[in-house]
Amino acid sequence: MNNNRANWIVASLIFSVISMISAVSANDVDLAKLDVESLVTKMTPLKGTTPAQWRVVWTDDACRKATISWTTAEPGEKHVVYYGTKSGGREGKPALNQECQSNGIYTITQPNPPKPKEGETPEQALKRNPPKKIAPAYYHHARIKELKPNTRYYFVLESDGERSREFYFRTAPAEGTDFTLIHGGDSRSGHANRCRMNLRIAEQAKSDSKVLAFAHGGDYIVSGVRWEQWRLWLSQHELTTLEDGRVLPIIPTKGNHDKGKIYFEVFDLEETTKRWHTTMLGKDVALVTLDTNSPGGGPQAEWLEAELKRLRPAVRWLIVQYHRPMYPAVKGPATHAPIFCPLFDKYNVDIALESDGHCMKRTVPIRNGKKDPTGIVYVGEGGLGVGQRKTNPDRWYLKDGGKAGSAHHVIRLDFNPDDMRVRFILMDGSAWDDRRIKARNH
Amino acid sequence: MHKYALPLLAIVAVVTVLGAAWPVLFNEGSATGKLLVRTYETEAVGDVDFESAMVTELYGETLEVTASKPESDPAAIAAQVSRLRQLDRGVAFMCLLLTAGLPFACRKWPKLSWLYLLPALWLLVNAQATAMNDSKAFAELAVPAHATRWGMLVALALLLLRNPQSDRIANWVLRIACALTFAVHGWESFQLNPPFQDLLYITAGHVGIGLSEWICHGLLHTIGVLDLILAVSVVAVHHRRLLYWMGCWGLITAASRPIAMGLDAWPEFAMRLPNSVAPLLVLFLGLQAIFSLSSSTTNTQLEPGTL
Repeated sequence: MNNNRANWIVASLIFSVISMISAVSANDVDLAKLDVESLVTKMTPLKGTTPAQWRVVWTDDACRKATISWTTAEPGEKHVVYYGTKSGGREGKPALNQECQSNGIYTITQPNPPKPKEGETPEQALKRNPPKKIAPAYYHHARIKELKPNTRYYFVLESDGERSREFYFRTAPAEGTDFTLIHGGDSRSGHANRCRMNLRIAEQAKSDSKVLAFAHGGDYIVSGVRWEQWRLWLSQHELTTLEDGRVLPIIPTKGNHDKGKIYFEVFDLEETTKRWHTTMLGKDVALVTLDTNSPGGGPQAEWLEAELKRLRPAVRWLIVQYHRPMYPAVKGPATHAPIFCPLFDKYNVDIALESDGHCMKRTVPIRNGKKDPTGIVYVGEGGLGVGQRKTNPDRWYLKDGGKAGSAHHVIRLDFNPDDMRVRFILMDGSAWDDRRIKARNH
Repeated sequence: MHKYALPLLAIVAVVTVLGAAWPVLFNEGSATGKLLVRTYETEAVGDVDFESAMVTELYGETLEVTASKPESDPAAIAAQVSRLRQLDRGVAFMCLLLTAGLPFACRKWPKLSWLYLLPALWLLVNAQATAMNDSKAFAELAVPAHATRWGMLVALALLLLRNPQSDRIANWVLRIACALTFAVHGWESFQLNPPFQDLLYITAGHVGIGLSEWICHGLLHTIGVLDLILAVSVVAVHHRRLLYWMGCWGLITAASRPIAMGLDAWPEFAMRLPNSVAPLLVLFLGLQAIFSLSSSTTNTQLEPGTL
């Protein structure tokens, strides 16, 4: 009898494990079939001072600094993040705290009043068809410093006593390259696919704890001046959070659709000074973010040259990201190409991450505008939900070793001391392209 | 008007439409095509329903959804997008064919010149779509910014009718088109449009000059003011030197694209060729502006049989 019971328990355990495994893979396979209702229920309603739309932003030293941001529907008075290396448990909160240094209202453009019909006054038109007012929303940014590298930080958001559940993120290691970065761009339209790609990003992090952060290549939404579009993106970005509360820090890039002030309000960036920045992922990996909406020449070119000169001898992996492609698979090249590319060549950038084209591409290595085994590989070009475009695979840099295609995707960069593995992961989890780029000898 | 002016104008029209059609035929498509594809995709992937559900559930607001459609099959969406792109290319090709063929047809049937309004309309609709796509700096000003492109084709249709009244209308179409284009470019320059800054940085770099930001901004402010003055002048007075300068300046700014970006950017030059040709056409027409300057006004009519 006891033996029978033991057999039952063992069989049940095995069955449970198999069920869990199949549930995970089913989740993986069924990502494309998730419906609206089930996706919406995974997001936090924007109500009162309940913290929602959380994100961790990196634009500087990812080992020691982070900005933890969230949104509330009401302005509230006191906004604090509790954080620490030890979890606060189910009801508690981590030991350290930081009151938000920056709070404010998102810039909202209310819809225009209706046009009066013939013989109607503007007041009558307003009464007949009152425009739907967009509710205000408030951003809160807590800039936390003096963090320990390669450490799990738990955090709880609190606005006027309303607390979020506990989340955590991992800081970048002080040195070494044993981690993975996810890159993707163009989430500007296709809400359902955007959500599915966010879940794909979460799946990548869930299946591999080495995934450290998510670099967004820009074009979050269609019209950057419309809060009603940003709030959808922000709520949907919650889906990149893992079930256990793990948040992937985001490294933002500005796209051509991200006009206006809201981009800077969302990511706590200074509009005049933080259009381009370097995120240090430890001492061995640097991600230089550029702005293809600003002039490539002048201050940006001067900054880029100084930054690449400083970083190249110091880091193992030197990466650049920006929105408009220099070697596009669909459109014409960005006007920045004659300014940026010679600098990338001069300072031996390892890889360039591009967006904007709504397609997938990996170029041959390029130096001085020609195929060269010592050159730079340009990858992209954005597939986080937006409809995909047909590429021009006949372009010289996409032939004879280059590649182009069209599907929703993220790019996964696995850093190693001797090489970097670059994979295009599609919505169904399969890899469209899998290449290794060797580290340069300095 | 010089007897070669109209044939040359017809050639410029072909080059302009070719410049506009090239990216449609071989690259990403026209602004109208992109807008249609985006609108269709938004509807087909159920974005409106999704947005409505989110807005209700998460923000406590309601969105009026006119038609509720279930999310379409990705293969069906791809097929429809492909059809829209083919249509886009087809329209571009037809406009190009029409612009290339009309100079020959109009010799025999001058009234066919009205068909130039079709490529003009195509350029105008694309300008409006650029404004609606709102993906570039100053995109909202695309319709007046592109006025010389569609305006030149309208003027060509009128000039080929070969009568003084249509010449007078063409004169005003061209003057207003020039004024709009120069005014918008002047405004963009004054507002330091980033691509304009890069054109200066790159061009200066080609001749070994490292342009400082201060000088770049100073130059753009100056260019902006000069363009705005030219925009007012072209409708106010008929002044030969002024119109010559507008023609030269239009050519320089159009050529600055391939100079900065390389010969692959020739469609950018071709599309902007009317910025140079339209003021010269005003000059050759020799008709009055608002204020008459008698010394420089010569009313020369189109010689019969020039095209």
